[in-house]
Amino acid sequence: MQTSSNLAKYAFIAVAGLAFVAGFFFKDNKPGRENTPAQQTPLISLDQYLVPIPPELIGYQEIDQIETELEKVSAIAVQGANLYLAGDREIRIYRSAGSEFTRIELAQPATAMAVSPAGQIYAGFYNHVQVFSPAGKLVGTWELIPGEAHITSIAAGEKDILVADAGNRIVWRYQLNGKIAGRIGERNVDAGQLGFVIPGPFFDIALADEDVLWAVNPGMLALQNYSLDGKMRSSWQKISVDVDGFCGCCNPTHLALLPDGAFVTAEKGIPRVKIHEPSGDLRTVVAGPKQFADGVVIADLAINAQQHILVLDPAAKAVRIFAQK
Amino acid sequence: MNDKQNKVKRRDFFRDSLRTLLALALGGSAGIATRKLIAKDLVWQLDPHKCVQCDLCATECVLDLSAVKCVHAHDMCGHCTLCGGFHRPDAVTFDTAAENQLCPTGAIKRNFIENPYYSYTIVEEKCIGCAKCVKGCSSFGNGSLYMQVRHDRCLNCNECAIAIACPAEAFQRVPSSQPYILKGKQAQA
Ligand code: SF4
Ligand code: SF4
Ligand code: SF4
Repeated sequence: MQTSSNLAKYAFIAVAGLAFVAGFFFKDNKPGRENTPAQQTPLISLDQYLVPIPPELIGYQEIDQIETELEKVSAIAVQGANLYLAGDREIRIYRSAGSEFTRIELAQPATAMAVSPAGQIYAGFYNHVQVFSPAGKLVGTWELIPGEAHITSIAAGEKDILVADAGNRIVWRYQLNGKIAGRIGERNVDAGQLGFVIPGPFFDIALADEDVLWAVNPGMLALQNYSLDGKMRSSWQKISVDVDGFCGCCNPTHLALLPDGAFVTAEKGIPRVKIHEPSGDLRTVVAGPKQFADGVVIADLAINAQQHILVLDPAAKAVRIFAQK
Repeated sequence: MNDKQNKVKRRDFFRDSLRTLLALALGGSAGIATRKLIAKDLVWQLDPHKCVQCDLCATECVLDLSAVKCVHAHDMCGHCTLCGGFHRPDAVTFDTAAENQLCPTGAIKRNFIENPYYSYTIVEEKCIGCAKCVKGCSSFGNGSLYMQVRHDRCLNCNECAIAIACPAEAFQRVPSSQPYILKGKQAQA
Protein backbone atom coordinates (compact mmCIF):
# COMPACT_ATOMS: atom_id res chain seq x y z
CA MET A 1 0.00 0.00 0.00
CA GLN A 2 2.68 2.32 1.10
CA THR A 3 4.72 1.49 -2.00
CA SER A 4 1.84 2.23 -4.35
CA SER A 5 1.05 5.51 -2.59
CA ASN A 6 4.71 6.49 -2.87
CA LEU A 7 4.67 5.58 -6.54
CA ALA A 8 1.63 7.79 -7.05
CA LYS A 9 3.37 10.60 -5.20
CA TYR A 10 6.55 10.28 -7.31
CA ALA A 11 4.50 10.03 -10.48
CA PHE A 12 2.67 13.24 -9.53
CA ILE A 13 5.96 15.03 -8.75
CA ALA A 14 7.46 13.80 -12.05
CA VAL A 15 4.44 14.97 -14.07
CA ALA A 16 4.36 18.31 -12.27
CA GLY A 17 8.10 18.71 -12.84
CA LEU A 18 7.75 17.91 -16.54
CA ALA A 19 4.87 20.32 -16.85
CA PHE A 20 6.97 23.02 -15.21
CA VAL A 21 9.94 22.37 -17.51
CA ALA A 22 7.68 22.26 -20.57
CA GLY A 23 6.02 25.49 -19.49
CA PHE A 24 9.41 27.13 -19.13
CA PHE A 25 10.55 25.85 -22.52
CA PHE A 26 7.53 27.17 -24.37
CA LYS A 27 7.34 30.38 -22.40
CA ASP A 28 7.76 32.65 -25.43
CA ASN A 29 6.13 30.60 -28.12
CA LYS A 30 3.50 28.04 -27.52
CA PRO A 31 2.95 26.44 -30.88
CA GLY A 32 1.18 23.53 -29.24
CA ARG A 33 -1.20 25.55 -27.12
CA GLU A 34 -4.81 25.48 -28.02
CA ASN A 35 -6.32 28.76 -29.06
CA THR A 36 -7.55 30.45 -25.96
CA PRO A 37 -10.94 32.03 -26.54
CA ALA A 38 -10.12 35.67 -25.97
CA GLN A 39 -12.32 37.33 -23.42
CA GLN A 40 -14.27 40.29 -24.69
CA THR A 41 -11.41 42.73 -24.45
CA PRO A 42 -12.24 46.40 -24.99
CA LEU A 43 -11.69 47.62 -28.52
CA ILE A 44 -8.36 49.34 -28.78
CA SER A 45 -7.29 51.91 -31.29
CA LEU A 46 -3.89 51.35 -32.83
CA ASP A 47 -3.50 55.12 -32.87
CA GLN A 48 -2.78 54.89 -29.18
CA TYR A 49 0.68 53.61 -30.09
CA LEU A 50 1.44 56.68 -32.20
CA VAL A 51 2.22 58.68 -29.08
CA PRO A 52 4.70 61.52 -29.40
CA ILE A 53 8.23 60.59 -28.39
CA PRO A 54 9.51 62.57 -25.37
CA PRO A 55 11.59 65.46 -26.76
CA GLU A 56 14.60 64.51 -24.63
CA LEU A 57 14.84 61.22 -26.56
CA ILE A 58 15.04 62.98 -29.94
CA GLY A 59 18.68 63.73 -30.65
CA TYR A 60 18.31 64.99 -34.21
CA GLN A 61 16.55 67.80 -36.02
CA GLU A 62 15.58 68.28 -39.63
CA ILE A 63 17.91 70.77 -41.33
CA ASP A 64 17.00 70.51 -44.98
CA GLN A 65 14.90 68.78 -47.63
CA ILE A 66 15.62 67.93 -51.23
CA GLU A 67 12.29 67.93 -52.99
CA THR A 68 12.14 65.50 -55.89
CA GLU A 69 8.72 66.04 -57.43
CA LEU A 70 8.85 62.37 -58.44
CA GLU A 71 5.70 60.25 -58.26
CA LYS A 72 7.35 57.29 -56.55
CA VAL A 73 10.73 57.33 -54.88
CA SER A 74 12.42 54.03 -54.09
CA ALA A 75 16.07 54.28 -52.98
CA ILE A 76 18.90 56.61 -52.00
CA ALA A 77 22.65 56.11 -51.69
CA VAL A 78 25.63 58.30 -50.86
CA GLN A 79 29.13 57.90 -52.26
CA GLY A 80 31.71 60.61 -51.55
CA ALA A 81 30.01 63.96 -52.01
CA ASN A 82 27.36 62.58 -54.34
CA LEU A 83 23.78 61.70 -53.48
CA TYR A 84 22.05 59.14 -55.72
CA LEU A 85 18.29 58.89 -55.83
CA ALA A 86 16.12 56.33 -57.63
CA GLY A 87 12.49 57.10 -58.37
CA ASP A 88 10.00 56.73 -61.23
CA ARG A 89 12.04 55.71 -64.27
CA GLU A 90 15.25 57.48 -63.41
CA ILE A 91 18.29 57.68 -61.20
CA ARG A 92 19.43 61.15 -60.25
CA ILE A 93 22.95 62.07 -59.25
CA TYR A 94 23.17 65.19 -57.09
CA ARG A 95 26.83 66.12 -57.28
CA SER A 96 26.63 68.81 -54.62
CA ALA A 97 24.11 69.98 -52.08
CA GLY A 98 21.14 71.63 -53.77
CA SER A 99 18.71 70.81 -56.49
CA GLU A 100 21.02 70.41 -59.51
CA PHE A 101 21.33 66.86 -60.74
CA THR A 102 22.17 64.69 -63.71
CA ARG A 103 19.73 62.01 -64.74
CA ILE A 104 20.09 58.39 -65.84
CA GLU A 105 16.96 57.23 -67.62
CA LEU A 106 15.68 53.74 -66.86
CA ALA A 107 13.40 51.45 -68.86
CA GLN A 108 11.43 50.69 -65.69
CA PRO A 109 11.44 51.92 -62.07
CA ALA A 110 14.28 50.54 -59.94
CA THR A 111 13.30 48.58 -56.84
CA ALA A 112 16.73 49.06 -55.22
CA MET A 113 20.00 50.87 -55.83
CA ALA A 114 23.55 51.07 -54.46
CA VAL A 115 26.81 52.71 -55.45
CA SER A 116 30.20 51.01 -55.00
CA PRO A 117 33.28 52.74 -53.59
CA ALA A 118 34.50 52.96 -57.21
CA GLY A 119 31.36 54.87 -58.19
CA GLN A 120 29.64 52.09 -60.21
CA ILE A 121 25.88 52.34 -59.86
CA TYR A 122 23.88 49.11 -59.32
CA ALA A 123 20.14 49.27 -59.90
CA GLY A 124 17.81 46.37 -59.04
CA PHE A 125 14.61 45.62 -61.00
CA TYR A 126 12.70 42.84 -59.26
CA ASN A 127 14.68 39.94 -60.78
CA HIS A 128 17.83 41.44 -62.25
CA VAL A 129 20.53 44.05 -61.76
CA GLN A 130 21.81 46.65 -64.18
CA VAL A 131 25.19 48.32 -63.81
CA PHE A 132 25.93 51.91 -64.79
CA SER A 133 29.33 53.60 -65.00
CA PRO A 134 30.04 56.57 -62.70
CA ALA A 135 29.11 58.77 -65.68
CA GLY A 136 25.73 57.05 -65.97
CA LYS A 137 26.33 54.78 -68.99
CA LEU A 138 24.72 51.33 -68.94
CA VAL A 139 27.62 48.87 -68.82
CA GLY A 140 25.95 45.60 -67.90
CA THR A 141 22.75 43.65 -67.32
CA TRP A 142 23.27 40.75 -64.99
CA GLU A 143 22.10 37.17 -64.89
CA LEU A 144 18.41 36.83 -63.97
CA ILE A 145 17.55 35.65 -60.49
CA PRO A 146 15.36 32.52 -60.64
CA GLY A 147 11.96 32.11 -58.99
CA GLU A 148 9.68 34.91 -57.80
CA ALA A 149 12.48 37.35 -57.16
CA HIS A 150 11.88 40.77 -55.65
CA ILE A 151 15.08 42.74 -55.18
CA THR A 152 14.61 45.16 -52.29
CA SER A 153 18.14 46.22 -51.44
CA ILE A 154 21.70 46.16 -52.80
CA ALA A 155 24.97 46.58 -50.91
CA ALA A 156 27.98 47.28 -53.09
CA GLY A 157 31.53 46.56 -51.91
CA GLU A 158 34.86 46.63 -53.73
CA LYS A 159 34.79 42.92 -54.56
CA ASP A 160 31.22 41.75 -53.95
CA ILE A 161 27.76 43.02 -54.73
CA LEU A 162 25.10 41.71 -52.34
CA VAL A 163 21.50 41.65 -53.50
CA ALA A 164 18.61 41.18 -51.05
CA ASP A 165 15.72 39.28 -52.63
CA ALA A 166 12.49 39.38 -50.61
CA GLY A 167 10.75 36.98 -53.01
CA ASN A 168 13.25 34.15 -52.57
CA ARG A 169 14.09 35.23 -49.00
CA ILE A 170 17.80 35.17 -49.67
CA VAL A 171 20.78 37.46 -50.20
CA TRP A 172 22.57 36.74 -53.46
CA ARG A 173 26.32 37.26 -53.58
CA TYR A 174 27.45 38.46 -56.99
CA GLN A 175 30.95 38.87 -58.32
CA LEU A 176 31.77 42.12 -60.08
CA ASN A 177 31.42 40.30 -63.43
CA GLY A 178 27.74 39.64 -62.67
CA LYS A 179 28.04 35.94 -61.87
CA ILE A 180 26.26 34.61 -58.81
CA ALA A 181 28.89 33.34 -56.39
CA GLY A 182 26.82 32.39 -53.37
CA ARG A 183 23.68 32.60 -51.25
CA ILE A 184 23.53 34.11 -47.80
CA GLY A 185 20.98 33.39 -45.08
CA GLU A 186 19.48 30.20 -46.45
CA ARG A 187 17.07 28.28 -44.26
CA ASN A 188 18.88 25.35 -42.72
CA VAL A 189 16.95 24.13 -39.70
CA ASP A 190 19.52 21.43 -38.89
CA ALA A 191 22.18 24.12 -38.57
CA GLY A 192 19.86 26.28 -36.47
CA GLN A 193 19.26 28.86 -39.23
CA LEU A 194 15.56 29.49 -39.70
CA GLY A 195 16.19 31.75 -42.68
CA PHE A 196 14.78 35.16 -43.43
CA VAL A 197 11.14 35.67 -42.47
CA ILE A 198 9.89 38.26 -44.95
CA PRO A 199 6.16 39.00 -44.96
CA GLY A 200 6.34 41.94 -47.38
CA PRO A 201 8.69 43.81 -49.71
CA PHE A 202 10.90 45.03 -46.87
CA PHE A 203 14.28 43.36 -46.66
CA ASP A 204 17.29 45.63 -46.27
CA ILE A 205 21.00 44.91 -46.07
CA ALA A 206 24.18 46.91 -45.47
CA LEU A 207 27.87 46.08 -45.67
CA ALA A 208 29.79 46.81 -42.47
CA ASP A 209 33.11 46.24 -44.20
CA GLU A 210 34.22 44.16 -47.14
CA ASP A 211 33.47 40.83 -45.45
CA VAL A 212 30.62 41.50 -43.04
CA LEU A 213 27.00 41.89 -44.01
CA TRP A 214 24.17 43.09 -41.80
CA ALA A 215 20.69 42.04 -42.85
CA VAL A 216 17.32 42.83 -41.35
CA ASN A 217 15.26 39.74 -40.62
CA PRO A 218 11.99 41.69 -40.53
CA GLY A 219 9.66 38.87 -39.50
CA MET A 220 11.88 38.17 -36.50
CA LEU A 221 12.29 41.89 -35.66
CA ALA A 222 16.01 41.15 -35.72
CA LEU A 223 19.25 42.33 -37.27
CA GLN A 224 21.60 39.56 -38.31
CA ASN A 225 25.26 39.57 -39.11
CA TYR A 226 26.65 37.23 -41.81
CA SER A 227 30.04 36.48 -43.23
CA LEU A 228 29.97 36.46 -47.02
CA ASP A 229 30.30 32.67 -47.12
CA GLY A 230 26.75 32.60 -45.77
CA LYS A 231 27.30 31.83 -42.09
CA MET A 232 25.44 33.79 -39.46
CA ARG A 233 27.89 35.31 -36.98
CA SER A 234 25.62 37.16 -34.55
CA SER A 235 22.25 38.82 -34.26
CA TRP A 236 20.17 41.00 -32.02
CA GLN A 237 16.45 41.34 -31.61
CA LYS A 238 14.42 44.01 -29.79
CA ILE A 239 10.71 43.24 -29.59
CA SER A 240 8.80 46.08 -28.03
CA VAL A 241 6.13 48.59 -28.91
CA ASP A 242 8.17 51.09 -26.90
CA VAL A 243 10.62 53.37 -28.58
CA ASP A 244 13.63 51.18 -27.75
CA GLY A 245 12.41 48.21 -29.82
CA PHE A 246 10.62 47.09 -32.96
CA CYS A 247 7.05 45.84 -33.23
CA GLY A 248 4.68 44.36 -35.80
CA CYS A 249 5.83 41.75 -38.29
CA CYS A 250 7.99 43.63 -40.81
CA ASN A 251 10.39 45.79 -38.88
CA PRO A 252 12.77 47.47 -39.19
CA THR A 253 12.08 48.15 -42.83
CA HIS A 254 15.39 49.88 -43.52
CA LEU A 255 18.88 49.93 -42.19
CA ALA A 256 22.03 52.05 -42.52
CA LEU A 257 25.31 51.77 -40.63
CA LEU A 258 27.17 54.61 -38.94
CA PRO A 259 30.98 54.49 -38.99
CA ASP A 260 31.09 53.61 -35.28
CA GLY A 261 29.01 50.47 -35.87
CA ALA A 262 25.69 51.93 -34.69
CA PHE A 263 22.53 51.11 -36.67
CA VAL A 264 20.17 53.65 -38.16
CA THR A 265 16.75 52.01 -38.55
CA ALA A 266 13.42 52.98 -40.10
CA GLU A 267 10.11 51.37 -39.12
CA LYS A 268 6.60 51.10 -40.49
CA GLY A 269 3.34 50.94 -38.55
CA ILE A 270 4.79 53.39 -36.09
CA PRO A 271 6.85 55.40 -38.58
CA ARG A 272 10.07 56.43 -36.91
CA VAL A 273 13.83 56.58 -37.47
CA LYS A 274 16.18 55.69 -34.62
CA ILE A 275 19.80 54.95 -33.90
CA HIS A 276 20.67 51.77 -32.00
CA GLU A 277 24.03 51.08 -30.40
CA PRO A 278 26.08 48.16 -31.81
CA SER A 279 24.64 46.18 -28.86
CA GLY A 280 21.09 46.96 -30.01
CA ASP A 281 20.31 49.38 -27.17
CA LEU A 282 18.60 52.59 -28.22
CA ARG A 283 21.03 55.49 -28.62
CA THR A 284 18.66 58.20 -29.81
CA VAL A 285 15.66 58.98 -31.99
CA VAL A 286 16.19 60.77 -35.30
CA ALA A 287 12.50 61.37 -36.09
CA GLY A 288 9.28 60.21 -34.46
CA PRO A 289 5.84 59.36 -35.87
CA LYS A 290 4.56 62.91 -35.49
CA GLN A 291 7.16 64.01 -38.04
CA PHE A 292 5.69 61.79 -40.77
CA ALA A 293 2.40 61.70 -42.63
CA ASP A 294 -0.16 59.13 -41.44
CA GLY A 295 0.61 55.63 -42.59
CA VAL A 296 3.77 56.56 -44.44
CA VAL A 297 6.33 53.82 -45.10
CA ILE A 298 9.80 55.34 -45.32
CA ALA A 299 11.38 54.36 -48.65
CA ASP A 300 15.08 54.30 -47.72
CA LEU A 301 17.84 55.62 -45.46
CA ALA A 302 21.39 56.80 -46.07
CA ILE A 303 24.18 58.58 -44.20
CA ASN A 304 26.26 61.32 -45.79
CA ALA A 305 29.86 62.37 -45.20
CA GLN A 306 28.79 64.78 -42.44
CA GLN A 307 26.99 61.87 -40.77
CA HIS A 308 23.64 63.47 -41.41
CA ILE A 309 20.79 60.96 -41.61
CA LEU A 310 19.03 61.07 -44.98
CA VAL A 311 15.46 59.80 -44.96
CA LEU A 312 13.63 59.16 -48.23
CA ASP A 313 10.06 60.15 -47.45
CA PRO A 314 7.57 59.01 -50.13
CA ALA A 315 4.76 61.18 -48.77
CA ALA A 316 6.86 64.36 -48.91
CA LYS A 317 8.49 63.04 -52.14
CA ALA A 318 11.69 64.40 -50.67
CA VAL A 319 15.01 63.46 -49.14
CA ARG A 320 14.75 64.80 -45.61
CA ILE A 321 18.07 65.57 -43.95
CA PHE A 322 18.50 65.27 -40.19
CA ALA A 323 21.51 66.49 -38.18
CA GLN A 324 22.46 65.93 -34.58
CA LYS A 325 21.09 68.65 -32.31
CA MET B 1 -3.53 19.66 -27.51
CA ASN B 2 0.08 18.83 -28.35
CA ASP B 3 2.41 20.13 -31.00
CA LYS B 4 1.73 17.30 -33.41
CA GLN B 5 -2.02 17.58 -33.14
CA ASN B 6 -2.01 21.32 -33.60
CA LYS B 7 0.58 21.42 -36.34
CA VAL B 8 -0.95 22.01 -39.77
CA LYS B 9 0.78 20.21 -42.58
CA ARG B 10 1.58 22.55 -45.44
CA ARG B 11 -0.61 20.54 -47.80
CA ASP B 12 -3.56 20.63 -45.39
CA PHE B 13 -3.05 24.30 -44.88
CA PHE B 14 -3.20 25.16 -48.54
CA ARG B 15 -6.21 22.86 -48.97
CA ASP B 16 -7.91 24.81 -46.18
CA SER B 17 -7.03 28.06 -47.92
CA LEU B 18 -8.64 26.78 -51.09
CA ARG B 19 -11.69 25.75 -49.10
CA THR B 20 -11.93 29.31 -47.75
CA LEU B 21 -11.74 30.64 -51.27
CA LEU B 22 -14.50 28.32 -52.42
CA ALA B 23 -16.56 29.20 -49.37
CA LEU B 24 -16.27 32.85 -50.24
CA ALA B 25 -17.49 32.19 -53.75
CA LEU B 26 -20.27 29.81 -52.74
CA GLY B 27 -21.36 31.92 -49.79
CA GLY B 28 -21.69 34.76 -52.21
CA SER B 29 -23.78 33.02 -54.80
CA ALA B 30 -25.91 31.04 -52.33
CA GLY B 31 -26.64 34.18 -50.34
CA ILE B 32 -27.55 36.08 -53.41
CA ALA B 33 -29.66 33.29 -54.84
CA THR B 34 -31.83 33.11 -51.72
CA ARG B 35 -32.58 36.80 -51.49
CA LYS B 36 -34.63 39.07 -53.63
CA LEU B 37 -32.16 41.58 -54.84
CA ILE B 38 -33.31 45.14 -54.72
CA ALA B 39 -31.06 46.24 -57.48
CA LYS B 40 -31.36 43.08 -59.53
CA ASP B 41 -27.82 42.46 -60.66
CA LEU B 42 -25.88 44.59 -58.19
CA VAL B 43 -24.76 43.99 -54.62
CA TRP B 44 -22.88 46.08 -52.08
CA GLN B 45 -19.17 45.53 -51.64
CA LEU B 46 -16.35 47.51 -50.11
CA ASP B 47 -13.06 48.16 -51.84
CA PRO B 48 -10.36 46.93 -49.44
CA HIS B 49 -7.83 49.25 -51.06
CA LYS B 50 -9.92 52.27 -49.99
CA CYS B 51 -10.92 51.05 -46.50
CA VAL B 52 -9.21 52.93 -43.65
CA GLN B 53 -10.25 50.40 -40.97
CA CYS B 54 -12.35 52.83 -38.97
CA ASP B 55 -14.57 50.20 -37.20
CA LEU B 56 -17.91 51.62 -38.47
CA CYS B 57 -18.48 48.36 -40.35
CA ALA B 58 -18.99 46.77 -36.94
CA THR B 59 -21.50 49.31 -35.70
CA GLU B 60 -23.40 50.72 -38.70
CA CYS B 61 -24.74 47.57 -40.37
CA VAL B 62 -28.49 47.10 -39.90
CA LEU B 63 -27.84 43.54 -38.76
CA ASP B 64 -27.06 42.93 -35.09
CA LEU B 65 -23.95 41.08 -36.13
CA SER B 66 -22.46 42.96 -39.07
CA ALA B 67 -22.50 41.39 -42.53
CA VAL B 68 -18.97 42.72 -42.99
CA LYS B 69 -16.25 40.30 -41.94
CA CYS B 70 -12.54 40.05 -42.08
CA VAL B 71 -11.21 37.70 -44.78
CA HIS B 72 -7.68 36.52 -45.29
CA ALA B 73 -5.61 36.31 -48.46
CA HIS B 74 -3.58 33.34 -47.27
CA ASP B 75 -1.27 33.44 -50.26
CA MET B 76 -0.20 36.99 -49.34
CA CYS B 77 0.28 36.24 -45.66
CA GLY B 78 3.79 36.09 -44.23
CA HIS B 79 2.64 33.42 -41.71
CA CYS B 80 4.61 35.32 -39.12
CA THR B 81 5.18 34.27 -35.52
CA LEU B 82 4.71 37.91 -34.62
CA CYS B 83 1.52 38.76 -36.48
CA GLY B 84 0.55 42.42 -36.61
CA GLY B 85 -3.06 41.39 -37.20
CA PHE B 86 -3.24 38.77 -34.48
CA HIS B 87 -1.09 40.22 -31.70
CA ARG B 88 -1.57 43.49 -29.92
CA PRO B 89 1.44 45.70 -30.59
CA ASP B 90 2.19 45.65 -26.86
CA ALA B 91 1.82 41.87 -26.53
CA VAL B 92 4.13 40.57 -23.85
CA THR B 93 4.58 37.15 -25.44
CA PHE B 94 3.65 36.10 -28.95
CA ASP B 95 1.33 33.27 -28.05
CA THR B 96 -2.43 32.81 -28.16
CA ALA B 97 -3.17 34.13 -24.69
CA ALA B 98 -6.26 36.35 -24.79
CA GLU B 99 -4.46 39.38 -23.41
CA ASN B 100 -1.99 39.27 -26.31
CA GLN B 101 -4.65 39.12 -29.03
CA LEU B 102 -5.84 42.15 -30.94
CA CYS B 103 -9.19 40.63 -31.87
CA PRO B 104 -11.78 41.48 -29.20
CA THR B 105 -13.72 38.27 -29.82
CA GLY B 106 -10.94 35.74 -30.40
CA ALA B 107 -12.12 35.26 -33.98
CA ILE B 108 -8.69 34.52 -35.42
CA LYS B 109 -7.47 30.95 -35.11
CA ARG B 110 -3.72 30.48 -35.07
CA ASN B 111 -2.07 27.20 -35.98
CA PHE B 112 1.56 26.18 -36.06
CA ILE B 113 2.86 25.24 -39.55
CA GLU B 114 6.60 24.89 -39.03
CA ASN B 115 9.16 26.93 -37.12
CA PRO B 116 8.77 29.94 -37.25
CA TYR B 117 5.57 29.99 -39.35
CA TYR B 118 1.88 30.03 -38.34
CA SER B 119 -1.41 30.13 -40.20
CA TYR B 120 -4.17 32.57 -39.27
CA THR B 121 -7.78 31.74 -40.10
CA ILE B 122 -10.88 33.85 -39.48
CA VAL B 123 -13.72 32.17 -37.60
CA GLU B 124 -16.52 34.13 -39.28
CA GLU B 125 -19.18 33.35 -36.71
CA LYS B 126 -17.13 35.20 -34.11
CA CYS B 127 -16.05 38.13 -36.30
CA ILE B 128 -17.91 41.38 -35.55
CA GLY B 129 -16.27 43.30 -38.40
CA CYS B 130 -14.39 45.75 -36.19
CA ALA B 131 -11.34 45.84 -38.55
CA LYS B 132 -8.82 45.95 -35.68
CA CYS B 133 -6.90 43.02 -37.13
CA VAL B 134 -7.02 44.57 -40.59
CA LYS B 135 -5.59 47.80 -39.24
CA GLY B 136 -2.87 45.87 -37.41
CA CYS B 137 -2.03 43.85 -40.51
CA SER B 138 -2.07 46.88 -42.82
CA SER B 139 0.06 49.00 -40.48
CA PHE B 140 2.56 46.45 -39.24
CA GLY B 141 2.23 43.60 -41.72
CA ASN B 142 1.52 43.29 -45.43
CA GLY B 143 -2.24 43.83 -45.69
CA SER B 144 -3.29 40.21 -46.23
CA LEU B 145 -6.23 40.62 -43.81
CA TYR B 146 -9.01 42.75 -45.25
CA MET B 147 -12.72 43.46 -44.92
CA GLN B 148 -15.50 42.19 -47.20
CA VAL B 149 -19.29 42.27 -47.16
CA ARG B 150 -20.28 38.60 -46.87
CA HIS B 151 -23.19 37.91 -49.15
CA ASP B 152 -24.50 34.92 -47.23
CA ARG B 153 -25.42 37.46 -44.53
CA CYS B 154 -25.88 40.81 -46.25
CA LEU B 155 -29.49 41.90 -46.84
CA ASN B 156 -28.42 44.02 -49.79
CA CYS B 157 -30.32 46.99 -48.42
CA ASN B 158 -31.45 49.59 -50.87
CA GLU B 159 -29.17 52.08 -49.11
CA CYS B 160 -26.38 50.29 -47.24
CA ALA B 161 -26.15 51.93 -43.82
CA ILE B 162 -22.40 51.42 -43.71
CA ALA B 163 -21.94 52.91 -47.18
CA ILE B 164 -23.59 56.10 -45.92
CA ALA B 165 -21.30 56.25 -42.87
CA CYS B 166 -18.06 55.01 -44.41
CA PRO B 167 -15.46 57.82 -44.16
CA ALA B 168 -13.40 56.32 -46.98
CA GLU B 169 -16.29 56.01 -49.44
CA ALA B 170 -15.14 52.44 -49.84
CA PHE B 171 -18.60 50.99 -50.58
CA GLN B 172 -19.86 50.55 -54.08
CA ARG B 173 -22.31 48.36 -55.95
CA VAL B 174 -20.72 45.52 -57.87
CA PRO B 175 -22.18 42.92 -60.24
CA SER B 176 -23.70 40.00 -58.34
CA SER B 177 -21.73 37.66 -60.61
CA GLN B 178 -18.54 39.07 -59.07
CA PRO B 179 -19.62 40.01 -55.57
CA TYR B 180 -16.16 40.25 -53.97
CA ILE B 181 -13.21 42.60 -54.39
CA LEU B 182 -10.42 40.26 -53.45
CA LYS B 183 -6.75 40.56 -52.67
CA GLY B 184 -3.82 38.29 -53.42
CA LYS B 185 -3.92 35.55 -56.06
CA GLN B 186 -7.73 35.39 -55.66
CA ALA B 187 -7.86 38.90 -57.12
CA GLN B 188 -6.05 37.78 -60.26
CA ALA B 189 -8.17 34.64 -60.70
S1 SF4 C 1 -16.75 51.87 -42.75
FE1 SF4 C 1 -15.43 52.04 -44.56
S2 SF4 C 1 -13.40 52.64 -43.79
FE2 SF4 C 1 -14.62 51.90 -42.01
S3 SF4 C 1 -14.04 49.73 -41.81
FE3 SF4 C 1 -15.90 49.80 -43.09
S4 SF4 C 1 -15.15 49.92 -45.23
FE4 SF4 C 1 -13.41 50.38 -43.89
S1 SF4 D 1 -10.35 41.89 -35.04
FE1 SF4 D 1 -12.47 42.48 -35.60
S2 SF4 D 1 -12.49 42.26 -37.87
FE2 SF4 D 1 -10.67 41.13 -37.12
S3 SF4 D 1 -11.39 39.00 -36.89
FE3 SF4 D 1 -11.62 40.03 -34.88
S4 SF4 D 1 -13.73 40.78 -34.87
FE4 SF4 D 1 -13.24 40.31 -37.03
S1 SF4 E 1 -26.32 46.34 -47.25
FE1 SF4 E 1 -27.38 46.27 -45.26
S2 SF4 E 1 -26.90 44.24 -44.43
FE2 SF4 E 1 -25.44 44.60 -46.11
S3 SF4 E 1 -23.61 45.44 -45.13
FE3 SF4 E 1 -24.90 47.20 -45.74
S4 SF4 E 1 -26.17 47.66 -43.95
FE4 SF4 E 1 -25.29 45.60 -43.64
